[in-house]
Amino acid sequence: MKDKNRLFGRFAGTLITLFAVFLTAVIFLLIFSKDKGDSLYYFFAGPFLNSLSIGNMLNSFSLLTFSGLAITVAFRADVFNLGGEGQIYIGGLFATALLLRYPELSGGGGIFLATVAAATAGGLLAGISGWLKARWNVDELISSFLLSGGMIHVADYLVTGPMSDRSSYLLMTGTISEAFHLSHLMPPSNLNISFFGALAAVAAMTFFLYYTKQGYELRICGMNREFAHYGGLNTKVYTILPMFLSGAIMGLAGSSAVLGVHHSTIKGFYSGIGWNGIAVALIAGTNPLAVIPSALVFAYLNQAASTAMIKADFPFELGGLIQAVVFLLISSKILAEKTELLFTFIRGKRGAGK
Amino acid sequence: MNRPPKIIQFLIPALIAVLLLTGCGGKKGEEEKKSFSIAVFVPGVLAGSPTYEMMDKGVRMEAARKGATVKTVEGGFNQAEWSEKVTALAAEKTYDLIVSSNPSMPEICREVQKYYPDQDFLILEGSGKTDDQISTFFFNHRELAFLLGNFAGLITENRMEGNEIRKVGLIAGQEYPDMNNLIKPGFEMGFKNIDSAIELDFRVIGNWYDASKASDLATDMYAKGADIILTIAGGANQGVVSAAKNAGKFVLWYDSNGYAIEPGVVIGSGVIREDKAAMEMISRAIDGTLLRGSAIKAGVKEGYVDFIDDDANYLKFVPVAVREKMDRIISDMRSGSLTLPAGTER
Repeated sequence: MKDKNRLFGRFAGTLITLFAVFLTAVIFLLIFSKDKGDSLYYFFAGPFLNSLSIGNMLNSFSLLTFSGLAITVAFRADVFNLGGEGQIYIGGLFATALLLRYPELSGGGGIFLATVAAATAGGLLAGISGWLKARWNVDELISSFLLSGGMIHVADYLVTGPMSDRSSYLLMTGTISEAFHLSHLMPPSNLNISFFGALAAVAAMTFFLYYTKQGYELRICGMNREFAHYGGLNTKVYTILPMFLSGAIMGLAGSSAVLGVHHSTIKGFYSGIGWNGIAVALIAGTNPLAVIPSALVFAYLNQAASTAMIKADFPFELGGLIQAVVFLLISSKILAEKTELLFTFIRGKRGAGK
Repeated sequence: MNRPPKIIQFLIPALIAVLLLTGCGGKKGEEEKKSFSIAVFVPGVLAGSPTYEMMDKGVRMEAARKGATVKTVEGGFNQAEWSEKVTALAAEKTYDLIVSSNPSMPEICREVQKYYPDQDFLILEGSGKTDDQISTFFFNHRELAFLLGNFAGLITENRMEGNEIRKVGLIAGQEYPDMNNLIKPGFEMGFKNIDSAIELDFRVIGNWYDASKASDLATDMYAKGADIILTIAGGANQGVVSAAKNAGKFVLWYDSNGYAIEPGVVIGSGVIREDKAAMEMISRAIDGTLLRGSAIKAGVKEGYVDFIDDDANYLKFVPVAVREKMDRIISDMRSGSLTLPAGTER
């Protein structure tokens, strides 16, 4: 019964946050937009007006599902992966590099290998942080962030230097052969079959966490690492594994963007996928299935800002501003929960003192 | 395990509510006008990019004169998002013309045109190719770089007080075809025209915003003997200026009047008259005389690129001897007795 109340409280809290997010968007719109009616209309209805925006929204949904799921997996084991952007970038770059190096691969085989390469690259990058944590108790939150930040510069160098396409004016690598492009579902929108990949990843992760022994052990470690340790579990493994999985899923986000949308690694393509993944995961809590509605809300917000900008006079900076507010509200919601815990704790102490 | 269904139970009604509400929102914005409609796509942001501001201003002035409507959309700095945004603009099917300015836009717009073959595009700063369906207007960067190269050569000659090093610098945001095929060779041709012993120190930043890296590169170049640096690095240009100020050396500005940025440090400036090109092209488009796929190339003689030699700071800080020699080269180019090919065909 108590559990049910908490669940409802949590859900209500999320709803309030989302409501606040939309309210903020509306207030900003009313302040900054000259054409208020149009802006409002296109902000709320825009994403559903044509197949192009629906497709782009669903594509952004699949990428956010990957990155949100990646963060959720880490959460579940009580570790934190702040290096999403670098893992996505490196994943995408490895996939691109492989396909540029071996253009003679068959379409399906190339896509499969590139996806594996991306997942491995992202996984290893995050896995290092997990290993550092297990070996020397290095804070994985800091190390994943710093490692990823460093790798972004390395990747930037590769994309604009040795791997750059000098016949193009864009900052990007060469373009992969058409055989490796993921088929598009609603052209000309960016939606492609990685949409199903994202859903499959959620299903696979749910299955892993709730229906396998390792998943169970991982969750136990996430709930109480010491209990798990004294219960005889190898907690070090469950520090490295969730970080690896998290990075691998980030890598999948990278390969989906490269194979499905850009067909090359464009400098900075990861922006907006990595950090928003954290926000998606914060709304989803620790439940992988909840990533789906949560990513949908975020994709909707993205597309809303984008259509409002194109159809009405919604200023460009406002899109970023709204996302920043979303981030702030969601992270402060977590803060609020923590504060509540603290208060309960203090009250309990006082009660005991009397 | 009872969590997900619960959430979905809440979410589905919420989604339906949103759909219903928006569905009943009424159709606003039913256009009654049938005037010529232009969308300006800025590959970046307007604030702080003089060339994009010039383009937007030019388009708006001409549109206002001819009663056309203009909508400006900023694409932001993430190049990965440009294509999606241009596609969305074309999908509107309400714009008679989409105008943009950036050498990378033709490749993006050609992709978009595969899905929207009826959409017309005009790309300033873009170069066309055979069978192009996109109209382009290309400025002769080779001529502009040649003029600036001559000036750089004159400055380094003039500063030779017993020192043996004759060096000029060029800093680029990135290596791109126009940089490698036109600007760098044109610049080189320019200072070699003054003295074939002058050397070039060429550096690349790797992006268009990192002013501190630009400053580091420039400081090193000045220390190694460069007297003047031509900087073509967008927002990072500022770093070159501050390095020049510290080193007591000079900067050449490329595409808009830069003398006022740091008088006495920026002592030479080229200009690309993006606004003029925008106005004329828009005028043609509205009159229906802009041919689809037309690729125009224009240089100093036509008056679209030039060296600014009438700015008060130029007259104040540049020695008369240098200016006199420069005047001869400039007038040769303006009169058309000296022209260089703009060719970039790949």
